[in-house]
This record gives sequence, C-alpha cells and structure tokens, in this order.
Amino acid sequence: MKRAIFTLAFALLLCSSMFAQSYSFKTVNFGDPNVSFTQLLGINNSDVIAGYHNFNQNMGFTLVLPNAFTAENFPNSAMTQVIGINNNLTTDGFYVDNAGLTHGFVRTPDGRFKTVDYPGAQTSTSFNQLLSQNDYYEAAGYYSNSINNTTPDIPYIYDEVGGVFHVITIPGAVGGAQATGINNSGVTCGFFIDANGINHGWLLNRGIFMPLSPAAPEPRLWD
Amino acid sequence: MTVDAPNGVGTTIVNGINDAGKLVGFYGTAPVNTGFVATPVRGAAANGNGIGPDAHGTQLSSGGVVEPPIVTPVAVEDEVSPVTRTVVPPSVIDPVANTREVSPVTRTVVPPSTIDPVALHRQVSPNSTGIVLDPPTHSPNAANGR
Repeated sequence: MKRAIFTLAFALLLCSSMFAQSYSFKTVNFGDPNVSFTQLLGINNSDVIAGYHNFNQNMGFTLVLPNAFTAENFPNSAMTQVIGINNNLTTDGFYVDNAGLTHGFVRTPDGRFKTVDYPGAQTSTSFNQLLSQNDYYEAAGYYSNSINNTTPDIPYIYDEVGGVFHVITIPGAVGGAQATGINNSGVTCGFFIDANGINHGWLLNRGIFMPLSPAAPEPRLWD
Repeated sequence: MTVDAPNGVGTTIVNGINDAGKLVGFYGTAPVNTGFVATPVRGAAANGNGIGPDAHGTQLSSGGVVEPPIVTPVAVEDEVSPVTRTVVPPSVIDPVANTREVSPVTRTVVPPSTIDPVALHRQVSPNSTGIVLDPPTHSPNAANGR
C-alpha cells in the first residue's frame, strides 16, 4: 500500500514538472500608466492584439507590440470593444450605439464593419456581443433579450458567410450561457450558469458537449 | 496551472491565447487596469516561481506564478464519460464546417435554404436531454453583404 502511494505521489510530481511552464510578462498601457485602463482581449498568431481602453468610454484598438496602437471603433458608436481577432485580421466584438443598445460587430481586414444582431433581438431591448473569431468566418457570441443584459444570455455561433446563427441550448443553464471561443476546428467553448448561480465551463467539440470544471467532476445536470 | 501577472494587484484575467501559447489579458481593479502579454519561455526550466528571462530584455520581478495543473487525468476521464455526454450528429452542429475548404474563394457554403429543418431538430436518442442546437436563423444583415 505504501509503495502504491509513493508511486502515485511520484507520478503526480513528475506530471507537475512536465506541465510546468514559465512566462515572461510585458505590461501594456494605453496612455498614462497611473490612470490607464487597458484590457487586452485577443491575440492572433502574428501577435496582433485586440482590446480597448478608457474605463468610462470604451475605445477599441488593435495593437502591434510594443506600442503601435490602431484605433478601431464602430462608426458613430458611443463605445466599442474589440475582442476577437483572427489570422486574417478580421476582428469582432461589440459596440454601444447612441441609444444605449449593445450590438455585435465584425470588421473585415479592409475596414468594413457589419452589425451582427440575433434576428428578433434587434429591438429596443436587444443585447448582442461577439467574443471570438476564427479563420473560417465563424464567430462565437451570445444575445440577451434585455437592454441591460438582465435576462439569461443565450449563446450562438455566427456564420458570417451565410448569415446563419446556430443557437446552442444547454439544459441546466438556468442562469444563462455564453459562447466565448471558437477555434479553426470549429470547437467552441464557453460557460453557463446553473440554477444555483454556479458558473461552469463547457466545450462543444463536433457535437459532443462536455461541462468542464477543474476542481471536481461535474454533476449530471440533465439526468 | 494558474498564471498571475508579476506585481499584479487585484484580479488577473487571461482572455486570449494564440497558437504559440502567448497569452493576453489584464490585471488590476477597475477603473485602473493594465494589459499584459505573457510569452512562454522556451527552453527555460521551471524554477519554482515560474519566472524566466523577459523576452523584452528586462528582468522580471517575482510574481509570475505557475502551479501544477489542478485538473487530473482522472477528472478529465470523468468528464467525458459516455454516460454524461450527449452526441449530436456533426451535420447538425455545423453544416458549413463540414464543407469548408482552406481558401475562402473556393469554400463551399451550404445555402441556408437547403438546411434540413428536420435534421436540425434531430437528436441521437429520443430520451436525450443534452445539448440541442436550435434551427439556424438568418440575419437580415447578411443581405447587406460585406
């Protein structure tokens, strides 16, 4: 028994060493570092970064390190956050219009913006955000039917070629859900909130849905 | 593993990662947030505090934390148990992905009108209560083109 425990402990130690990874950090501030509000939200394989600055009036940008910021704001918007960026320099995110409505958007590399709102949610009570962009004209995001996002979020994958929304319905997501990432294989991730207000990660990989939790096995939410 | 920005006060949020493993995020407490880029240090052995040479030539202070992974293989196995997962035919998930090609010029797209609404409602088992993709909805914006 002791031998088994020792072997297990050694294996865990070995695994820990294998997974260990060092990082070097470089801070990024837009403007005065003492008052700056800068968030970096996405990065592509050429290290072009998407983000925004200004706490009170969000202003989007793309960034080529070390400090080549390029403003990116939806035309005539009140606020813009640039969130996703792919390897073709297509970006997505959301903007707030002058009426206070939040809309998703996609910007093509040639600078054309397009509003992305879930059909039927384009009313005075709509709320849309795109959060990720892959290289195959697919974006991950969500919508809500309340202007202040007070109703449960509903995740979707948006196909930019056909203008098709694939809504993802997750049983047990009583508090709502968001699709936060999509890669070039179409694998989508996100999180949902259960009836107890607990957040859970999830992964949708070619039709197989997995709730994710690093701490413990997930409960079977829909048995 | 966890990743915290060196000297980061308040919350550290990692938002994005590219294929090289480079991370972006921010730390701090609003209304003061600072963005960061975290670059994996190649060839540097983990030294216990996760700090390696800065790719930009400056010496990092302590605080870049790398911890052993919390997720164990056993936990992952539990997550992918066939009992708990629900399989939806891939054709239901992403009809476009099934036909896409590398070049956007030659990429084949299934016209929305050809999507079988029956297939979109289909589930593997009548008793399945897992994830369901709703019928795709077309955006009026698509008509505008890009």
